[in-house]
Amino acid sequence: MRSKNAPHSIFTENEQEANRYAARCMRVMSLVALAAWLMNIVGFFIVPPKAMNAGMGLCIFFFLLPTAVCRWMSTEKRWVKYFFILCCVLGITIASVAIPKHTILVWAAPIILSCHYYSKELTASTLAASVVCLILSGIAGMFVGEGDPNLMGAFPTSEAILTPALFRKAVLFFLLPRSGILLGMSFICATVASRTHELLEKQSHDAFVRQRMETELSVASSIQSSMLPSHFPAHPEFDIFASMTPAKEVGGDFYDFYLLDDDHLCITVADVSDKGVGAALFMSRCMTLLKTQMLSLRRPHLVMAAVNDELCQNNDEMFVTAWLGVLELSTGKLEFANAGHERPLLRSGGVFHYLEQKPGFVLGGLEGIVYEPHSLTLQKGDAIFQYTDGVTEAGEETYFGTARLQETLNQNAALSPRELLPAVEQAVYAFTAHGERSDDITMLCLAYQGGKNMNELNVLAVLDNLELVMGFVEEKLEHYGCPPAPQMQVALAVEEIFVNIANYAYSPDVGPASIEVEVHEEPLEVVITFMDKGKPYDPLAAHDPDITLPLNERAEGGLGIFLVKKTMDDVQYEYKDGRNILRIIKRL
Amino acid sequence: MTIEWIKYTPGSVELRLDGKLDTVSAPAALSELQQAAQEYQNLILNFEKVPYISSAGLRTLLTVQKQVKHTGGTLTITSITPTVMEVLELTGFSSILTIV
Repeated sequence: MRSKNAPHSIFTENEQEANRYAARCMRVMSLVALAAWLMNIVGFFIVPPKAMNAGMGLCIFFFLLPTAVCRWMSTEKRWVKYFFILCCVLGITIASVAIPKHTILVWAAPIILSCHYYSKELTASTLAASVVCLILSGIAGMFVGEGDPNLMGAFPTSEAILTPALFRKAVLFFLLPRSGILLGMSFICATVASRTHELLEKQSHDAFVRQRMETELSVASSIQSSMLPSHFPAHPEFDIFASMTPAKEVGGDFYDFYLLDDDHLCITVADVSDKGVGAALFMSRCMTLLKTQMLSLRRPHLVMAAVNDELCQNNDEMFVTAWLGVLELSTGKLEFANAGHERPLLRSGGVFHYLEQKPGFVLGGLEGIVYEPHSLTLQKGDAIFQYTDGVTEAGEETYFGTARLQETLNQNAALSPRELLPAVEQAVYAFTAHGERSDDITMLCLAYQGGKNMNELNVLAVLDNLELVMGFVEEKLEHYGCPPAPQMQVALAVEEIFVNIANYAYSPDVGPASIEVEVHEEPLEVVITFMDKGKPYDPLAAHDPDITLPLNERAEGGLGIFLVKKTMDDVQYEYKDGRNILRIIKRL
Repeated sequence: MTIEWIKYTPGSVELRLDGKLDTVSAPAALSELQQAAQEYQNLILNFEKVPYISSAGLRTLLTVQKQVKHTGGTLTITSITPTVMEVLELTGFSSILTIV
């Protein structure tokens, strides 16, 4: 859609400017006329005073009219330029009636002035008005004013008698040829006007198209950015952050992450080979395809193969490099596949190093590629950092490079993803302080915080939490189909142990305890492990109460642990890494 | 745990306990049983609806038994369930309590 307003506005603007210019020129002309008038008054010129006084006064009036219009009226109307030029022609006409022989060249002025409007019509109209006025003033000049020796040559001016023959001669040999010269001049001026008009029109249209293109690019860029997830939710098992800083041009970088289900997180980082709107469109297609295929296939290497085949249809120009990973949140198992993309870095034991696995072929390059499945298991505290070549290829003569990236990451290894990415970006910027970034900078960091053990409960060891603990254990035992009788015994043991921890482990303070329920097969048994970070205390070391004593000698303490020992098949205690670990085992 | 006072004869009361006698319920049960022991010489505790007892419950019984014996009364536990009985036997409580 092409707007017609855009080229027009530039002409409207020019017209107003030309109006102001014309008014200024005519002010100068009025000063010249005034000077001539004054010189006549002081006797330097010898024009009849009557003609000079009337003529110059009127002439100056016409020359100053446009200035008045500019000063007090709006000059936006299209007729204003005709009026201005008319004022100019009339002023010159009056002057050339009074002093015809001095004003011959001045007749060029209106036509030249009209050129500034780049309007053929105006120049043509000016010519018509000029020719008419030239002839009329020439004739009038024969009767009044100074007279023109060219027209009246045969006679002394003061005594001129105008005969019809003389008049015919004056018109034929002087006024008409002068008009002819004006005509020729105006042809040149009209050509200049129309050529400039066309040029301006073209230029302004080009500028308009260019601006439109730029707007479209920036819209494409913002749509592209808005496709990328920008909300990084807090999650107990992982911490994720990603960023894409586009270069000047619209590029084809993207990242993505989403949960496939409660236990699987998919992360993607990819880079389309090209730039511009085409690359942005291709990128959105890739992003959609990868996600759609991932939601149904769920294995990175299969997804890569499917998306590759899909992208190869009707595509000869673009390809995309991509890295795709699926993290199992409960176990930390990370399955991934790499289609021609940079190798990611793994932070393991607090140190970043590049993964060894070689990338496969790019997506959209060749149909039927098979991608190799890779996997590794993230431990609690491990992190994966993935990026696009905008990071490593930043810089002019030397690149930021993979080694420098690794070094930067290791300098900031302790940071969370949300802090790490800006730190890396800052390092890249510092490196390219004077160079403009030529590519998008995309990074994604996923830190694994350990699987949430579904069989473990972490609570504050206080009696108020007893029911919570009992409920948790009972639910687990029922889940495993534990028969009622042993279930009751296990419940009793759990109560006794938890109450012990709550009452004594941190006394007089409070602290945390964890209870883990496991069921082993062969032999079928329930294992419950209690852990607390309280005072080291081995409950098994205490003496058993004497259960044969008569009532009055019976003590109230020690019964709980005694019951545990009696009802459970095995009870083990150890103190390790600052923790009391008590394990009870009940065979089923 | 709820305790229902169901049968009164001169000097005796039968209390029906309903629910688990564990760490959570033991303190309230103890104060109610002690109150009953103050008002009546002989207590009969119906344990039909007590499915579970932990050491806190055992301590409650021990305390009440001592108190009753001190005033020359009796504490009798009736209708006891096998699970609870097992705990009482394991801890030797069956020998110091009157269970019928």
